[in-house]
Amino acid sequence: MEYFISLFILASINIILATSFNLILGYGGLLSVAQPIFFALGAYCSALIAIYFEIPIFLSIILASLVAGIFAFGVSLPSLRVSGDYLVVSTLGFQLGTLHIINNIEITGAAGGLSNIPPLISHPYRSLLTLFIVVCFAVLSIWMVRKIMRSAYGRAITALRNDETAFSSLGRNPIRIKVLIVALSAAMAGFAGGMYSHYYLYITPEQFGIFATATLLTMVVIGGAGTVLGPAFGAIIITTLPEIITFLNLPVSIMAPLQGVIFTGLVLIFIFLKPSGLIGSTRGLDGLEIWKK
Amino acid sequence: MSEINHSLETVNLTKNFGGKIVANHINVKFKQGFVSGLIGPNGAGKTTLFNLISGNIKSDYGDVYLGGKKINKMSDFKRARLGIARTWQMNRLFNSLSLIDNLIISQRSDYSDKSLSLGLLDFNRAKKDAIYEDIAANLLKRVGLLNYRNSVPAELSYGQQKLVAIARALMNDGSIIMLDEPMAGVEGRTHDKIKEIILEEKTRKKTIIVIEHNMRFIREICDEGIFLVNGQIKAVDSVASLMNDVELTRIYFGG
Repeated sequence: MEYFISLFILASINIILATSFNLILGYGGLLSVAQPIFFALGAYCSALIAIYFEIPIFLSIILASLVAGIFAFGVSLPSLRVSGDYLVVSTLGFQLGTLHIINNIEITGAAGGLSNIPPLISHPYRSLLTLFIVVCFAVLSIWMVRKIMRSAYGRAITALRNDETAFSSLGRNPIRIKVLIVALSAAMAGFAGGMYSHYYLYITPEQFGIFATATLLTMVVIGGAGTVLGPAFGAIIITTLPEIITFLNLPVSIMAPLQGVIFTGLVLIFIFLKPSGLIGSTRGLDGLEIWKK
Repeated sequence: MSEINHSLETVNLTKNFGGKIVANHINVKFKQGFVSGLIGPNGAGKTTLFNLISGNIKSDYGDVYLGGKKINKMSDFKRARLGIARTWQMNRLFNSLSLIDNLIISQRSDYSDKSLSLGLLDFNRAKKDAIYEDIAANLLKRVGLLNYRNSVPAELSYGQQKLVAIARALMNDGSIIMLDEPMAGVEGRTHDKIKEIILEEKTRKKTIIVIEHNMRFIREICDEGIFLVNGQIKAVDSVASLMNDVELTRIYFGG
């Protein structure tokens, strides 16, 4: 039972992460590859704040989420001022650079990882209570993205994605919108990271590398980028699928590559047969999603 | 929003792309209540001049003045907020938004991108929209597309899209209206409608600048013609005089 609760907690955390990524990738059309590093910043900062300062764990998660948002603001501001393409380069640099730092400094536990992280809840029903909290925040994150996208701000994000030059020429400030959604998305990822570290109580740098970016991207693409519920479904599938495969009791020599084959196969199938993902959005004649009030 | 007077002026406006001069010391003054036509062969620098005025590209040298105020350091969105509205050759409508939303988002004081809550605290969008929805609906009615208010641009013909693009520029309600090839690919009723709108805006004392290859249209609506060649102004005169100039006709048609 504990195993399943733990799996559902991970799926819920991934829902927050995928939903946050969807805001910038699916709706904003901005390719930031560093979402896992904002998740890592949240996880490490929250853990370190909780270890070194005697403040409530939930407050340390909130502070860590702010740190992730501020870093995202700082990284995206110069790159988004130049051109959207630079965001890929600057976020990739930020991801690799930050991972390198985490891997090499003592305070983060270096490559060996950080342990002895205080739990969010110390209670016999710790897992069940954490699951309840994480599910609530997963629902909240979905509601937030839905609310943003159905507001006038969401209409502006949609127009910005359609044509930034035309959008700007109408008197709208595109940089302001892009930087703010990247920062909010990173703060959400940081929050998810905080929840992760205070439940699993042990984090290592290798969890937040390029492979994590690919996994996250798969969740959003398979579920349906630019849809409210798609990334949540993608997160559930991608989190549970490897576990389901383990029930087949195959030898490790087959199982490890099989997981890779299934992941890659899924991405290819969706790209070619259902590019809009599991939850397809309403699209116009030209294939672009239509904004809904 | 300060609009002391509505004249637009460029002084020695210069731009080069990788050594090729696309705007060469352009000095021109656009008059309020006038329709000015930018004429010239392809590659003369007409759209570049639009881009330099609207701020989509920055000049290497020279100044742009709006109502006596120097604006060439301003970004494009700040210039739009001062009342410089423009259209594009390829319309550039927002394909994921309905026509009414294409227009609502185009008014200068739109609040959406200023919200620090990113819309999370936006609980009365419909009420806020209502103010601009009436203006937008009136504009759609004016261009004869009110029945399509909930359609997306891709469902319209190219000519109808041109009308939406013009309506979107008018939503700015600024003093300057720049129309880039409004007649390209347009004929019949749409042609007459665009002409009617431009003349209506002229009576409202707007400064209107039109890039157009349709010489009949230029002759019908423009009060003056500005002839550009290789990024330079070759002549400024009445359209009739420009069209009777043998030298300019030769440059325009080649040969």
